[in-house]
Amino acid sequence: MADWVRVPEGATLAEGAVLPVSVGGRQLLLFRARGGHFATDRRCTHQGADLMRGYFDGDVIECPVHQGRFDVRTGRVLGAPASTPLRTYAVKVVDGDVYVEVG
Amino acid sequence: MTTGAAFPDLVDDPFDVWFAPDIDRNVLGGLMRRTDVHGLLMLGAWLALCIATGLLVVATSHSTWVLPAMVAYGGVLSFAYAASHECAHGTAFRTRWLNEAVFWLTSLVFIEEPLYRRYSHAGHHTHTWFNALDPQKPYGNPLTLGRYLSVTVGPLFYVDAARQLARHGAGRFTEMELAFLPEAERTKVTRNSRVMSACYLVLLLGGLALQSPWPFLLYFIPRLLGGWIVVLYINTQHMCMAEDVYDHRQTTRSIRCNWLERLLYWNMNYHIEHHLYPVVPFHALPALNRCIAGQLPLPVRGVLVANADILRAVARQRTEPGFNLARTGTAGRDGQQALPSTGR
Repeated sequence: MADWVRVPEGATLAEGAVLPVSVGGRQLLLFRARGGHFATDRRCTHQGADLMRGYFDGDVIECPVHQGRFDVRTGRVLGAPASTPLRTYAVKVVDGDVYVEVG
Repeated sequence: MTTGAAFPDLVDDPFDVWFAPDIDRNVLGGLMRRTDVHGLLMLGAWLALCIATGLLVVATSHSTWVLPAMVAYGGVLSFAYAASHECAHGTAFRTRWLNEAVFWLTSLVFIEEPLYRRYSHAGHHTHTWFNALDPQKPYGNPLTLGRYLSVTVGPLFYVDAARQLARHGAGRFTEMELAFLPEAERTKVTRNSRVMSACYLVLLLGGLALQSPWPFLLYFIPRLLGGWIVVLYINTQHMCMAEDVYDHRQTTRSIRCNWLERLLYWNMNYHIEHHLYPVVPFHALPALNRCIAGQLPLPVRGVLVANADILRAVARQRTEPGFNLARTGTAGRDGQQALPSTGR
């Protein structure tokens, strides 16, 4: 059964900012994009680089090593050399608190 | 190591093995910002220089002065390499379609299929100057004078480019290419290679059929006559540097360039800096250099000095095959500092 895990720092995350979080033993990134909060795996699906060190602009996170690009809302690949989508996690905001669903 | 706002490191980061300079994370984040204006200015300046030198070719086409004019024009035209490279990284323009359109145009001029280039260049950044792993490592130590000359002034590039387009157009890939090119992308590379080959053939056969000299005077011959100029700069990137080392300061060379060279070369003279942070766009490389210069070797004094160093290394490698030009110190604030050993 899926669990909703509260991310305390998520409430104050500014638009355009990224936060690395460890939830349920997983290394994730929490994004504050234009359309709200989104969460994805932290590791690039291409060769495992740390997306936290990448470039986040709008709804797109770009790998710091090879510039593979992903839509953080859906995990969809937007640019080579990445070809496998990034895993995303559901996020909800309740009374200002941010929760990430891990299952 | 990076300072600034702290965040926990990714566990088992496969790229942690590489040397990373000390730089504030927030500063680095600012340097990553994309713009359209810088790329448009560079592209506009390159196109203006292409037009100016191209007009020289037209104006001198009935005299022997056409030869030096074609060298100048072909030299400028071949710097399409630099724009194509920046677009391969996606850092030339913030607007994606603009980046991809310029990527296609400049790759067509330079003769390298863009999707393949993006993947092979990603491999180059993953395995910079590792033998048998770096897909963009066409030579190694020891280098011979014949190899240097064939790479620099010979028609090798054009022969290789034509062969590669034909091979990829036929759907054939080497084992190394199969390793970094996903299956779904291979058909696109094949399609693109056919489209590009068709473009060159139309230009070639069209010129012959119409008995027009212009495809030859404004593309084929200038690319051959002036292409060596950009190759002199490409040589400086890694030629005769250390191999199989997880340290861009030893495998890669930065050089000093004047404003015109930096404009044509899209600041790729800051090549160590580019390899350390490929996500930083060309226009921010001078600022990145100011942040980390003390942790890097001093840049070589220019393109000709770097090529002269290479030729001296080639001579020395005849008796010492393992000799390379990697520098073992940084500019530092107080002179030379020893670099830690990072060989594997």
